[in-house]
Amino acid sequence: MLSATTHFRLFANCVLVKGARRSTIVDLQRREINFIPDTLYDLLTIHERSNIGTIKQSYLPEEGAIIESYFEFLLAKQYLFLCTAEELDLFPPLDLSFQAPGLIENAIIDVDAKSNHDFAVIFRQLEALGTMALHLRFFAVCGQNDLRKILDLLNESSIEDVEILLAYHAEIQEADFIGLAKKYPRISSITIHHAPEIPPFSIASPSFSLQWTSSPIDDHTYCGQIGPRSFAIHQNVFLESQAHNTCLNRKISIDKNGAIKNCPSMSTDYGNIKNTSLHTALQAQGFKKHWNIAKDQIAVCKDCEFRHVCTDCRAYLEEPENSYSKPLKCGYDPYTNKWEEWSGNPLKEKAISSYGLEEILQTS
Amino acid sequence: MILLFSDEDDISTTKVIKWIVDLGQAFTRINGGEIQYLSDLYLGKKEETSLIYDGREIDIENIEAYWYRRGKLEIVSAQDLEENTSLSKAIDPYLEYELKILEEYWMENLLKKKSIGNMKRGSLNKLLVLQAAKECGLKIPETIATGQKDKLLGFLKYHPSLICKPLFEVPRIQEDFGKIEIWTEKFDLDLLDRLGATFFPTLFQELIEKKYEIRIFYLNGKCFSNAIFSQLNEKTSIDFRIKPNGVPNRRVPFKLPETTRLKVVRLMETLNLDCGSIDLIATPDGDYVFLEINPVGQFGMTSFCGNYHLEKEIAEYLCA
Repeated sequence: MLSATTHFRLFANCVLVKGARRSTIVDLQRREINFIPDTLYDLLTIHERSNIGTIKQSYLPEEGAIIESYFEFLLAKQYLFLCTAEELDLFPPLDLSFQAPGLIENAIIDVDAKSNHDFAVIFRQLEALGTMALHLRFFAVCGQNDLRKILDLLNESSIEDVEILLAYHAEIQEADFIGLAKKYPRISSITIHHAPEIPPFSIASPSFSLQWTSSPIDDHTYCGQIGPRSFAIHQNVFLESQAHNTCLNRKISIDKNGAIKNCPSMSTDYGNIKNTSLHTALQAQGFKKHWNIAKDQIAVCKDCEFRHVCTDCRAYLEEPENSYSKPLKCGYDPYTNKWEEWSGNPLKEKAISSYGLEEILQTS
Repeated sequence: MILLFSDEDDISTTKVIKWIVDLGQAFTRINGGEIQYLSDLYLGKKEETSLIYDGREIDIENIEAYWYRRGKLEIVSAQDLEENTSLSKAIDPYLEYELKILEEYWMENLLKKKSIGNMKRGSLNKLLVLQAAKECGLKIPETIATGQKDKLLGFLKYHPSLICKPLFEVPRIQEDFGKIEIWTEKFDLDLLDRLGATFFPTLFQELIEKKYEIRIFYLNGKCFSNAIFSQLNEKTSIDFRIKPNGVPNRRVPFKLPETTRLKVVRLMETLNLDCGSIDLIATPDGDYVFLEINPVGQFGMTSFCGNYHLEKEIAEYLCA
């Protein structure tokens, strides 16, 4: 039994997010998410400063046992701690402001068989913008030597993290990837597409991950899928999501043809890297127009309990003309708490066809 | 130009640099252990001092501010000296003194500039700090340093649970059989039988019961604090730095009560420190007990868990 005079405080890194039909506790420190009923959300927010005795008085006597069991659960998960009335003000909530140095945080560079990017020039421009993370996406086969030549350009770079998407080919060797991960510590992950159903080998390392997908990824249209696998339970994402778009904020991309865009899947470009600098493109009117579209402003998403761990997509939308509509490739309904295959939804057919996604849906 | 003294793998320094660049300032990072040569020092009709570091000449005139994160200023001879002759052995210490004078000149002139951190105080004397803390009105644990078993037994009568910890920094000794790390440990009373009448002088303190620990990063009069619930995890209940297996200790922003905050500020001012990490314990009785100050301690976690943007705060101060 909890003492009636005891107060409580949620740990500041365990943040409540209310959804339409249920709520979540997002544990930013342990990077987990847990569902709670809306009744518990209300109890924890309305009675934030009450002691246990007061809380119990405001519910029916027979609900006392439920309240006890709620607190048992919250204490066992270490979501909250018990404290005195005097301590309440010593534990402020987490400041949710997001601040980061530099103009750009992350960049995508797409490459296919016809691409002819000058990587040395691109990397220099990205560094000048303060870019920390780079995603290199190769849709066609790229040989080990060509890849190493590109990565060698990053040896002295301020870019800290590199993710690579590569096409499968039969001569792929385990040793090549172990060698890559060792020689280029900036690489945090490599994903191989067009891979056989059963991966030929796996590599386990704390600082590097190798993933396989049998999906045939031939261009950028594969991107924008939303689901538990793309959730990022991370303090920085949570903070950024409060007032910014979690995918497009501080992002710059170069598509396979050299067009400079916020994201390769978007239709608007701001010049070609052959004759426009990234800095100039970034300053162009409209480049940042999606950067501050936060989940709280997006239809449906604003009622979703996952909205602050979700990496959004503004390139493929349920209503292509409405920048504030739900991501097309999300199959979750926060009003029923059900997941379904987004591509099977008849209401999305029109949008699917307007983006020309029928083909990719048939092959995958 | 902003000068940063650090070491090669300090991530906080890298983060501060990103903010310095964001604010449009140039920087030079000197990592400890890397070579710094004297370029020239002119005193007379004009005054000039410069160093050569990593092939670059750094003129003291161009340094607008510096951050002493850690490491040390160490000037060496650019010329390889002949080693192992009997003459070199005899003259070596004197050559060291020659270089020390140059280092000291550099250091004193750097000290005139805007800075964070104190080059002369990379580590502090724990006993003097405890004494100063007490004088500033902070509660401290009852403490003895002794090598006499009878004194230890006498202390134990009043304080049956003790911890012992190093007087100096935590040593990290690499041996063939593994690593030796000496953290703060609860003193095992079974050890008493194995102690002779005298032993190596050791620091003992009464074990303070924890409600939670408080880690403060102090910067120019401001306190940025975290509460660390290390007692929720048995392994970390004595020394939270020992990494628990599995779940990390809960660590959240904390607002120091005003009376305690004022004492901490007074302590840092007394010790003439403009930054440092301070450890306190909050006891179940509502007391705040001072443990120690690390002038070059890590603050990355304090910043992250409190979302205090300390790296930005440091950069802004240096660039202002």
